[in-house]
Amino acid sequence: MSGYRLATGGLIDRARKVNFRFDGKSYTGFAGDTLASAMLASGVKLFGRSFKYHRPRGVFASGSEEPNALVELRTGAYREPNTRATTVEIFDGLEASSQNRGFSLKYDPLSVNNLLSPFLAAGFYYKTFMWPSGFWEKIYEPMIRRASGLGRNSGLPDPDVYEKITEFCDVLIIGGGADGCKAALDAAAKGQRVILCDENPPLAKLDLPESISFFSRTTVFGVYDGGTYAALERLNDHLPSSNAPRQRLIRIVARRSVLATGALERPITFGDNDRPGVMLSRAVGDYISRYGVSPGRNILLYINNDDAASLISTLYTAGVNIAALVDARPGSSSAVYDAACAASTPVYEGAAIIRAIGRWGVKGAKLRLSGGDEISIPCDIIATSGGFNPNLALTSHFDGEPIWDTGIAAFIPGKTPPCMEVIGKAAGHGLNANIQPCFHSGFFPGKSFLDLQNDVTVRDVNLAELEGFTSMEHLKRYTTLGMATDQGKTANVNAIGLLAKTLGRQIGEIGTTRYRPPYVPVAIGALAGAHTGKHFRPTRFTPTHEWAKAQGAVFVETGAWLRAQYFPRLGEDWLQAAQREVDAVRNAVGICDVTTLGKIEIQGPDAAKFLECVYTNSWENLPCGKVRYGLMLREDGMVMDDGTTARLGETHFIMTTTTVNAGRVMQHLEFCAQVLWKHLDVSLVSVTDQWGQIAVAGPQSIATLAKIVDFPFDLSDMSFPYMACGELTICGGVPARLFRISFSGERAYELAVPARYTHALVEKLMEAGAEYGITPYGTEALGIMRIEKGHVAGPELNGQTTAHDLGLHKLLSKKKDFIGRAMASRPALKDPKRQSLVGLRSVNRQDIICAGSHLLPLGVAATAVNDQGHVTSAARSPTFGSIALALLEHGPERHGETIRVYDPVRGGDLEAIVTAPVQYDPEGKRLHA
Amino acid sequence: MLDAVASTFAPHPLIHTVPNRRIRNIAVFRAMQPVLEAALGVALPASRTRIVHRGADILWNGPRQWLVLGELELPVNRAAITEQTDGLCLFSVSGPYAVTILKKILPIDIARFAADEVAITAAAHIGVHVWRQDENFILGCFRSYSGALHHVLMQAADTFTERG
Repeated sequence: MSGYRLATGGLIDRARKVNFRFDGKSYTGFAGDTLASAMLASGVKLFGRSFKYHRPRGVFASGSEEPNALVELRTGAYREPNTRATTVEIFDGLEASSQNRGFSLKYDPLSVNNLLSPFLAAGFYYKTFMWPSGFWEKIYEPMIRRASGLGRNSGLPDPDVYEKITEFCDVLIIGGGADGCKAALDAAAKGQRVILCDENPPLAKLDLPESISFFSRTTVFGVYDGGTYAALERLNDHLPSSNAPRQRLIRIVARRSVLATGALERPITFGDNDRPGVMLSRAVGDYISRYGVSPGRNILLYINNDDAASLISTLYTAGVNIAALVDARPGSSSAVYDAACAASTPVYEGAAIIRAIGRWGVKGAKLRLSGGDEISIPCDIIATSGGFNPNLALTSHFDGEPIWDTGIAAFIPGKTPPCMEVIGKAAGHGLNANIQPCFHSGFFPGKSFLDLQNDVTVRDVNLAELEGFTSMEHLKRYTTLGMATDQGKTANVNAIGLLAKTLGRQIGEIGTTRYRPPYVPVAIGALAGAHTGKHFRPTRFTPTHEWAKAQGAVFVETGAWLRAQYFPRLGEDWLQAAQREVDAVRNAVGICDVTTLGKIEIQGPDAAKFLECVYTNSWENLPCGKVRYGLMLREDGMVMDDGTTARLGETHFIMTTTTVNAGRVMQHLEFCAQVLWKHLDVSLVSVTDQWGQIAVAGPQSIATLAKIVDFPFDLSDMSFPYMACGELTICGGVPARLFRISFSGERAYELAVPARYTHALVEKLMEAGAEYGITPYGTEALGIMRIEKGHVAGPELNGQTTAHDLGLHKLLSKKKDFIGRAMASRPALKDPKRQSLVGLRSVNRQDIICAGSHLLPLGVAATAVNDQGHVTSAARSPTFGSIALALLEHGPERHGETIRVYDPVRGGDLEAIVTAPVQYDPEGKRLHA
Repeated sequence: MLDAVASTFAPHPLIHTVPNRRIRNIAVFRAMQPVLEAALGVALPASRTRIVHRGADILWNGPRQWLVLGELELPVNRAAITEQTDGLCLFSVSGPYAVTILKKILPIDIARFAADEVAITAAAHIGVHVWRQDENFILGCFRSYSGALHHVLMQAADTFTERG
């Protein structure tokens, strides 16, 4: 034996040496080692410091249930905290470091917490840091969080690449042990499509039929509705960093699942049982048989069941000395006793370990023998087995409550998620032979740890019980038992057993807390997959995007769309550009891409009737070739959306919606057509993307358009007046639709062409309007003009405004029913006291009104009680200076009043005059100019 | 006439834009389906399926709606016919890794996706139509999303990783 590595055995590849670093020091292991096994082989005992008391900790387990040996992997932005050293496969160049410690693992100033521990019991923070109350958020909490806790986040964007995929199968087998593999083969033999997931690296090349997809290094961490399971596959964590995806989130859709996750060992609790060298007995066996590493040279066993019998022979065969076997049972079983005799191991029946001896590592154990005598036995490892807990976390993701089985002294699955079958040890089969439950040795006055990860001691549980936290859910939240990365996998059952004993109740009555997803920690990056940065959500582009880019446009996100915000000329800021664009529309002609507005074709014999139901105003009387403004309410009477709808034919309408609400309105209409009024013969088709639509606005719009419409289309006011619409061709045969509608308040048209022609159309329009000074304008200019005209938009249609609030009550037909009619007529929604739409204009022209400011009467304190409304949209009008639309109590009655516009966020405080919402051309004469 | 400008995308060996064909949506008026089918000379495909008729593809597109790709004479007054040639953009994914690439972006059972099957689903938050033409998978999305969908497909193809 060299170091702690055994001469033979294990599934490692001894021909391939692997060099890695831990806390800056170089180590060598073999391919197939985990970080834990390689370091144990090098004789390392100290892996980390504990959560609260900063006590030295070593490796406790051999799998993802590890509570102690948490490390940080890699460096810089790649740093990943809280990784269990027991699951990290080593590779050449791996950089790992310890976490939650001071200067080094050995010298940690915060280990003073251990001396202060009598004051640091459960609930300490809440009881102590109470005064002054303002200190909690700014001083106490940040201080405590720094002092206690786990690893450090890198604080930088995660540079790793992650992937997400969806897989389908007939049967999902969770756990690739013997039971899982057999279940997979059985299902495959029946011709079923099988997915087999196992958390560990593959031990050998498995010869599986093609219908079984085997995913190794894959943990199923959550069960969701409809047979959906979430799994995390660690694709490249065992290899040096590269551009390849590091992890893959797999969404598995399975007709049924088989849980074959086996069982996890629990320890027996005794004094100072957190010392490096105290381990689960099965873990000791794993290190020997899987990695050819003996964690110690002189091992003391502390057990209460027969599982250790196999460990005795493993240790004996490997040539590791067994110091003694301490059996908590009054009489050891023959299985254990015979194995111990064969290994010439002394057996202490009915004895208990009181405490571990040694600070940096176990040096021995103090025993109380059945007769009451106390002795010390030297050893360097205490391997403990308090029995096995079926690994049933996933069965409780659908709120299934585990049931206590007294026969095996363990919780077994209760109600499982739909179509999940639990087999083997996970179901409690073949476990805990001859067990006599022993959760805690008793006797020791110092610290005995129940939850190693969260530093929860026996005393904490007793204290919580004294203070009345006797439900497991309360106990968990008061003491932090079972929280964090390991979800109490080795801790919970002992705490439940102890609480039951203290309360004099049965364990079954106490029950467990529910396990929730994820079963193991999952990086947020894996959940995000490829949806990061700019690609967090898709971006939609208008058909004139490239053209606008070439004109130097600045873009703004409106919903998923990118729209031109303004087109700055050399030396112009946004305001100068936007005001110039407004001037061009008001005095000459401007063009703006309005493709983003939702366009829905409504067709069918009942199309007009359908519109009557969804809009508040009347539609059956709209003549063909005309457009009308429409208002739509939600069922609760609030305004949902507005827009114009044109009647292209007897049974053919085209509705426009606001950009932001397009999807929602389409969904609403589909619901109305498919569910509410199935009898109406109507179809809905989104054509937002089919047509590129350009607004041509300003007094010279007609002259500009006249140059591109094909003969014999007549643009004159006689044949194509305000609110007319028609189908035509332009530029010698391109099909188009023309609508004479205006958002700017000027004579204006919207011209739609099949999207592929839109780019060429804007170029053609620029050419046609050049002699009039045609100017492209963006959403800033659009906003200024619509605020000048008092048109409502997104900020006013905020889901809390009614037609009355917005001054649109005349559109509420009294002759018919429509969605939202009954609710909109409730007196409270028509109360004149409600905040309703007004215009504002700053008294001093240099004052600037900001959207979001609050409105107060003059001469009152700026308090919530005196608040009378707020500014919804503000604009810097070249004509009127700073103007706004606002919602104000008793709004329509207050035109001409001076009020205070108060903006505590940006330090604004100014006076404004309340006006009618329409400030520009209230008579609407310019629509015909 | 105005010039038609089509969106251009970076070339990729596995992902191609599908050349433009005429696309129309037909939404049959109530009780008119037998009349329409008689006029077309074919039964319209049931939900989630596709047929090829006189050189045109007919794809189910929701209750009482179908998409017609290609030139096919459609009778008037039997259905609402809506031009969508410019509204949709089509990509094809082909090659031995097509299924693996599509598993990354589609929440459907693409490994068992039959040749006559149609799905209306979402790819990375983008609404898509999916169908198969021989060994090519076709994904159709609204034109304004085509840049985003192309990016998603390229990324799925580029970060291709073998298991094991």
